[in-house]
Amino acid sequence: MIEQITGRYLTVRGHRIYLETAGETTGQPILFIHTAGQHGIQWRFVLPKIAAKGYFAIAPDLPGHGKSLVKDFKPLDSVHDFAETLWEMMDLMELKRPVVVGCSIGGDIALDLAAHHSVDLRAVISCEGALRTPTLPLQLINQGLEDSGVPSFGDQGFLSGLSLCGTNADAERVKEITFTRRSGDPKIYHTDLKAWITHDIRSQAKHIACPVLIVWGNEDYILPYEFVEEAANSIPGARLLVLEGFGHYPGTEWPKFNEIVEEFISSLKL
Amino acid sequence: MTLAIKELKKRLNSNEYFSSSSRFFDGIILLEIDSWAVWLKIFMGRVIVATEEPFPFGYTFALKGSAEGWLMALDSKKNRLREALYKRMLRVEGNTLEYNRMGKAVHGLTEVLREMLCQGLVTIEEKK
Repeated sequence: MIEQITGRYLTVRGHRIYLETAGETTGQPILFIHTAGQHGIQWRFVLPKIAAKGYFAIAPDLPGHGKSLVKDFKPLDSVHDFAETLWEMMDLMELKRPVVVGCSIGGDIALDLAAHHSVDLRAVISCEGALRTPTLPLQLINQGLEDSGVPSFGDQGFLSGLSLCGTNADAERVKEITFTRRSGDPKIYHTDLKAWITHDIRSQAKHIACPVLIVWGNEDYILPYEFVEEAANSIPGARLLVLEGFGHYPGTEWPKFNEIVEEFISSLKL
Repeated sequence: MTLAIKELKKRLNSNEYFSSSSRFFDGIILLEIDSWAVWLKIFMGRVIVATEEPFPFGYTFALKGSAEGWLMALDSKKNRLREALYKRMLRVEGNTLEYNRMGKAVHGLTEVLREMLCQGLVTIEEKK
């Protein structure tokens, strides 16, 4: 079976970015941003469903992730740098008023884009992200910057993925999440986590002018509810959707996640 | 706290997941629940000794916490060990790098404990 997802490369800020798309370029563009240390394959179930509804879906691998190379082989360690790279990528692709959807660090990146470019965004959906996410100790992250500090990285990724899926997660999807969590470079994963814990855009929240939906799985123990609630209460007009029994990867855990995206966009006045 | 220690040893030694993942380990794991403890000497994928008596050489790493923390970790619906550690309801002491290296084996160990808890072969009572 040949899937309708198509891969391509482009260069932005010196990074060779790989991205996958589905749907006609004439449709409303929707950008999907993956979680820390992972890549765009996380959205492989969502892209065709979104495209079937007439949208143009795009899922890049962040610089240094998956098939995307990072300039000078120096991993990015700031959410804002990731966000501005994606902003330039979308500009290069001539995407008009895109919707941005992200999960985990991708959710943080989506909100950073909203904080700096909301006038030019149609909407933002941040899953398992917030205005700040200082949820891990820096010492642990620095330890992971050396391979010798993270023995059994593959097993740790598998077990972390398993523990972060909710009890209502689709069993087959959990297998895929844990399988893909085994892969990746520890250094990239930990520079991502450094970006995650240093991200803080609280002072810009009140300037966010585009519609925002915050999605949180109530079994995502790595992102306590207090941060999610803070984001929902600080961003003007933001909506909060709590998914019972889901964890850190709702976009993959729940086969009907695409409906959240479709319903939110449909509820907006276009 | 009660635990059928001989049964735990037997189950671990017949558990392919645990045996395989602990094949490259030579050390002692201590499980401590409130003031009660069990010591597991493991070598080449087998539990050699399982006892409540402290080992003179101490442990390689220990998983410690209250009954409440252990009950959370051994939740019947899902293995919540990592969540309990993240929320500091349990803690790892000793050689944490070895603990990380043996993450899969520890997961296998807690899976066996969860099964035994469901079958009444482990009882953990929270303090009132």
